[in-house]
Amino acid sequence: MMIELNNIFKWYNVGGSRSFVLKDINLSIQNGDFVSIMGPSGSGKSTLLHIIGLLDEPNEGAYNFQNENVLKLKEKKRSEIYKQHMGFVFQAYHLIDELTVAENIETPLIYKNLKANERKAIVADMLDRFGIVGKKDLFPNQLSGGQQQIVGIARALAGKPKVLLADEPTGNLNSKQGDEIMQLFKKLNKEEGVTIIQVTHSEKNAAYGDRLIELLDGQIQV
Amino acid sequence: MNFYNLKIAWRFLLRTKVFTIVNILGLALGFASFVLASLYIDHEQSYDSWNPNYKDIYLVGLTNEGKASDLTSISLGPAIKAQLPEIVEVARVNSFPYDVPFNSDEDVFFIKHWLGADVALAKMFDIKTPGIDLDIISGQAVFIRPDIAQKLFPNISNIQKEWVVMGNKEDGLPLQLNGVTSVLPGLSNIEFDCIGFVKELGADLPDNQTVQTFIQVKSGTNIDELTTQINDIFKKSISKQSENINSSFAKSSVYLDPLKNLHLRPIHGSSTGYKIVIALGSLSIIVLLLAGINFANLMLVLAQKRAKEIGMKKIFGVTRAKLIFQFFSEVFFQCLIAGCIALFLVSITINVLVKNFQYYLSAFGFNGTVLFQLLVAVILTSIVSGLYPAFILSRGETITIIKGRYQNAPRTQYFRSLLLVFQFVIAFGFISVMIVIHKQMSFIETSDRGFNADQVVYIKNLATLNKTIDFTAFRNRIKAIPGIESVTVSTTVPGGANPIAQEFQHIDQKLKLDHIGVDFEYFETLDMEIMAGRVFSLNFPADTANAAVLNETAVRELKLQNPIGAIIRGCNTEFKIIGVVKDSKMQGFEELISPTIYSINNSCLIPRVEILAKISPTNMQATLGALATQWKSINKRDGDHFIYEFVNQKYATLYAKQEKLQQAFTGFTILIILVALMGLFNMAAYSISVRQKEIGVRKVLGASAQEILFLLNRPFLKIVCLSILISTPIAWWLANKWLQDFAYRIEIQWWFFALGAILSLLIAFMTVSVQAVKATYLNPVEVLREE
Repeated sequence: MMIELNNIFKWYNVGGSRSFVLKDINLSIQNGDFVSIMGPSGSGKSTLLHIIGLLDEPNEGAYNFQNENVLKLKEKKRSEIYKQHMGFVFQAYHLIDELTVAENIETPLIYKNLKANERKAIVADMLDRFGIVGKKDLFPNQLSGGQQQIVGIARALAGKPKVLLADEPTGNLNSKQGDEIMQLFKKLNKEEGVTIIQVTHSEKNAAYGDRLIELLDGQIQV
Repeated sequence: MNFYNLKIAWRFLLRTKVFTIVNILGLALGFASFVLASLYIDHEQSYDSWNPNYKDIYLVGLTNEGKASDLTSISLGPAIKAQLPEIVEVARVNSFPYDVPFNSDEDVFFIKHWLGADVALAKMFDIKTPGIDLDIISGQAVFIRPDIAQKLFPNISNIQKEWVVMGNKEDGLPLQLNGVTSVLPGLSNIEFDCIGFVKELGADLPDNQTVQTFIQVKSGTNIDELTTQINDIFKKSISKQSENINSSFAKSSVYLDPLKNLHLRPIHGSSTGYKIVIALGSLSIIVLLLAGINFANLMLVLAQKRAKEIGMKKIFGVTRAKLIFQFFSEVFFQCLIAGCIALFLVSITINVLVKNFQYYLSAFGFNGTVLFQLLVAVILTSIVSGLYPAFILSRGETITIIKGRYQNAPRTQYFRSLLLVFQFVIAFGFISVMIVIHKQMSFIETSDRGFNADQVVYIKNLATLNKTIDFTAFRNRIKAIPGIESVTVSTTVPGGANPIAQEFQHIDQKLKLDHIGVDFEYFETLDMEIMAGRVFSLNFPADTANAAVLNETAVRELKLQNPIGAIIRGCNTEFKIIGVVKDSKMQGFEELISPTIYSINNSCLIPRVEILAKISPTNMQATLGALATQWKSINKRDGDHFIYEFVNQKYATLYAKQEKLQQAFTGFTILIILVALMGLFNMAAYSISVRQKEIGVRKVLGASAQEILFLLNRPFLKIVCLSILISTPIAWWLANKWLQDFAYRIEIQWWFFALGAILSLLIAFMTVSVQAVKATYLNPVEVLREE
């Protein structure tokens, strides 16, 4: 079992009373799944994704990642999990503005302590795979939204993660660009066995996944 | 990886270059002022510090009714040495207050500092006389500085037994030299061009002669006890004997002033030098501190724009320690650049400084200490301004960082407002104090001094002209030159050596009066106002015998109802008062005007040598030219060299140090304001960028541009107002303390502070508005769409 969430609660204290974002979430995700999380605004889907990605901690509950309890981890250990297993794709891309396309893709590799020639090889491979070789020396603000998101995905995949976490990856793109990204996800999932968990608003995008989880007011709808 | 971080940092700096340049420059200014101040302070504190006996040498001085003097009776030194075993050495110095030309066959040199001293002085102050053993000299041994010897005797390597002629080359007094002194390893309080050593000073001096007395004590001597013991000896054996000569001795008491204080804050003189050192030292640290605070603030502000980078790095598994290290090294690197710019700034300003402060360039040379101090400053600044942002930035949940929200924590906002208040308290305080200093200095320059020395020149002269008959020939010759309005001779000039106070008696009342020996036309030359009676006049030839003029203070202190015709005894003469003149501040604004008596009969025996001439403003150069060409024939004894100085210039040296302080203060105030404004500028930019959404909403809801401008300014104006409230009493207190230096000073007015307040508010408003106007005219759709 890759990911197992048990009785996860997340709340904020608002004016003395608890406002629940997530209520009693139980979820397990297998290796190689392509999961779509859907729900209206404020239903807690991004928070759930952040908890799965260890970017946020629940107030209550248990989380096992590859059969290992990963809550309340020391920073160093959490860093290790990031480096080894996780790739993130954001709605707003979050590319580093000061770095070129190639350098952005290279960034996670640097922190995995790969040698320079290994990094170059992986970056070249990524540029080639995503068809952005011609753009490798451009800076993010010289690219369209769709192109930036492709760089974002290339960056997330460069580190060969087991899980790709995507928070509304097509939210800022037009439908044609969105379709392209979704095709890419599908291909990655099928051909390379990457586990993908995406948060989305769109039923069309959700349909690319194998499994749909619907959230409403912090609870999974069965 | 470091190269990778460097690349991000460098490209980020390029993107935010305005902020970064402003910031690095601010820091460079801070470092430069720090280096310059420490160079100056090192220089000022180096006097005699090279002397191995530095800590054990004291000046023995006398105080009487709060007035301290560095001079004491010549017989005190030997008396204490004979009776007190703690005293290792006693040395006395007497200085000759006139410029004396030394003529050799080759050249001439004007000796300005001529000292006569006990042989012990050479040991105490490490003055070496190569080739001459001072212990075996008989009579007097005269030495000159090596650079003077080089000028006078360029072709002679050993000047022992060479002769110079003092005064006129033709018929001046010959003097045989014994040699040269070695160059001292550093600066010293004992400054001389020429020094004469004798075994025991005072053999040929009158008993009431006063000299500087230095003692060297055994290490670890209790100075308070020693002072009491010396006082006992002084009371028992010296003051009693001298009572008939000068009864104020009886009331005086002895103090000991350590050598380390003598240059900057002697008990007997002005402590302005020390105040400059303290002010420069603390100012430079304040500027550096402010620049450091700005730096920290800006790092926090700019971090907003780097949130993505920080967040992504955390996701990629970079640990907090590594992030802290990365930010810290960025700060350190920028500080290092600022340090290099500072060195460059220092080397180009150093000439200006040397010119301003009239010190030799060599004294300001860079050395290891200065570079070391700068490096320490760079490291400390990096720590102070780098660690705080580094910790703040690397803290916090990854997801909040990446969404760029973590900066809005009210805690950091309060902290940053506090830093801004601190800056403005200092900046505003400086503006106010600067206004006060400026007012006082212009008060000194423009207020009534009681005399008017415009167009009055002071001609340097060594010929003693004690009797009016001696001077009549001078006067007739000088006045024959067209353009000379009046000419006189006196014992002192305004801004020159202080007149000597002598004991005078009116009926049964004793009082110390400053005696100034003058000649006819003295009061006319210095344009002093007559308050009662008349002043000396050629129409009353008997004035030369016993007529005297008092100043108002003397009349007041002697409580004379009817001063004209009063008889006052002193200097073995019965003076008859013929007039009263207005008080004049001849010793500057720091000293209270002393009660003064003026007489033509120079019976107090201070040589009358200072010639003063008032010249008509038209054709001044021609008049001075004519005087110069005729001078040799006018002054036959000492006329080889016509050297003159305008009295106003001489007088200005009295407040030169205060002017120096004013300059330093003004310079630093401008720096501090600049640095504080840089901080405000950056803070405003940040706070407005954070409030853009609010501005957008308000505009959509119908707020006008002016309303938004006011809205954005309000928090900053609040901060400035709060700073003004805090700093006004502090500035008031400081300015008042500084004014205490002056016996004659301005009253602090409330509007000095109001002016400072208005200036500060205006500057702050303009600085914030530069940023605010941009936000005001932004299309609200642009900002609101981001959400």
